[in-house]
Amino acid sequence: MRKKKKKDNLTAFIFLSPSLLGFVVFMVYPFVYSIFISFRDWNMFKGMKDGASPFVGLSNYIETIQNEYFRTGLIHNFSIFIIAVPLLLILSLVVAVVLNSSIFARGAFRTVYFLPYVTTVTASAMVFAAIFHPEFGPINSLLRGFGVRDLPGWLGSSKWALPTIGIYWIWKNLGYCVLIYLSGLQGVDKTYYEAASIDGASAFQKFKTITFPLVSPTTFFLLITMGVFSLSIMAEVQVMTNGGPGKSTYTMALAIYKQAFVDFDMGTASSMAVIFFVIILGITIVQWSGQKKWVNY
Amino acid sequence: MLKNNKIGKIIRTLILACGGIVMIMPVLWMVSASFKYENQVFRFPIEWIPKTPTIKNYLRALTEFPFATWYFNTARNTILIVCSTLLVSSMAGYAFAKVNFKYKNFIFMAYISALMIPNEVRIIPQFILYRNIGLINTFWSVVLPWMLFTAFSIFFMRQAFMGVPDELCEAAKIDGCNAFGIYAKICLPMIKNTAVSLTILSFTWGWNDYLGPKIYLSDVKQQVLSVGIASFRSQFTNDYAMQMAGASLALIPVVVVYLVGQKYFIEGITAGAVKG
Repeated sequence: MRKKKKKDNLTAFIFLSPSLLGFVVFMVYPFVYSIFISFRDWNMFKGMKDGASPFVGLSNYIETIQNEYFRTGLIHNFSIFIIAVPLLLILSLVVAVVLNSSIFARGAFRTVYFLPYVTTVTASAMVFAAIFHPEFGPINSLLRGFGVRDLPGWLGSSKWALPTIGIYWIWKNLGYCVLIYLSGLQGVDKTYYEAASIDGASAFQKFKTITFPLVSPTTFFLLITMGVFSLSIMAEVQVMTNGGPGKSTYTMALAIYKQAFVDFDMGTASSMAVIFFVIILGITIVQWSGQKKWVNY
Repeated sequence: MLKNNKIGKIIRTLILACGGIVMIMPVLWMVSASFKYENQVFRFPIEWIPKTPTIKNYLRALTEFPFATWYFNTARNTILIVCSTLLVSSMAGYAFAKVNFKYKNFIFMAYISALMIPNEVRIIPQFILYRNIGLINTFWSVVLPWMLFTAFSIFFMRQAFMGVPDELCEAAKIDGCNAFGIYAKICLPMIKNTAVSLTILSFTWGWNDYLGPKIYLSDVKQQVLSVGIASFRSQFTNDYAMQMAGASLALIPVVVVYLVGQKYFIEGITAGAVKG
């Protein structure tokens, strides 16, 4: 028996060895090393050689907190989190409920709604930048056609640029959330609806008292994953505005990228990244502990 | 009552169709604009099918930019990522699902918590590591992290292997099959659908990968489509027809793969999420 156990250990080790290598080299090591660098005035060229990167205590963290790009990015990420993510979830639940009801051409609709999710961010973001062109773009041409006088400046104005990126982000991720909701809805027992119909419940009542509570685990899952995912918005910003006009579309991820690979200040960039991680960890913990109040498993 | 149902069905379909038009409009507009002359691009009302179509944008994009190289690099990276993801994560998933070993739960939890470590935390040390060992500007810097460890794929594979009945494995063992035989001959054929789903999912990860190539590759000859295309916007600031031609060239392959394999794609996405 003991021999069998040993053999199992060896088998498992062989099966796990490639992923263990990847886990250590590309997850654990960079994670720990990031924390290490974040406490040093990191010299890009010499690294730890000749004491070129001295320990500086918390000064990178203080610099991070004072860094206006990172701070603005944090606020922008926060507003995306509390506006774009709920909007995305509401829209996708509505689409999923309608898709799940009796309709024509269900398969075709599913294909269409999901299509944006597979597009390359840089390419589809470029398309959005053209469509939302403040002067000639089809969106503003359409609005002009409706007689709107005060046309939004979209990516060209500091007021509208972030909402435009939010619109793009919702467009791109809607199909994914719809799919997840659809599979959540498939698990809802049809007899609940039949019973409610007999009692004379309206469609909205059914949604409020049956659908919404029963898909709450799905909502919870999407809130965490899309919430965390929204924090790493960067590629679309780089293509559409590169953070501008001014600082109006900076995100945390973009601030980290620029601090590290434009200003080559790896120490401060690492402390930004560590704070970024702590925020993700915090959100996950808060959401997990808050779930008991409104999720029905 | 029956008639009422039918009207409701039509109304619901129409509502979805309106949303669907919004969803697909940008893609259609892109394709349409890519065949236009610059002065026609923003004409309103939109000419969806250009009256005087042109392929000059495509010709110019293909001749002035190393598209062939970008396609080749992107395809090679994607193939490496897909094949390796399938192999590495199916091996790990098999171990977690079918082998009893020491520290199994601990290792599994560690793997899963890696889902919480964002890319942003890893890129700087990875960059330093790559520079020290001379991997900057090679495609290995981009593909290696994907090839060796994606927590999602491992979890996904584990779930699939859990569904293979233990009796089958036991029977094979009694017949003298070793663990590798059970993995390759008994279990792998039974999770074929999951493998196809993961193939398509990892195809889109590989094809759309942006952050790694952007940071680790500066040589234009090593570059991939997603980053190469982004340069179109700064190169052709006011030439939107060119931008749309470039975007179309980047999107066509991934859209085709999606349309062909969408059944597996959808299965993969939903199975991966719900069982979590």
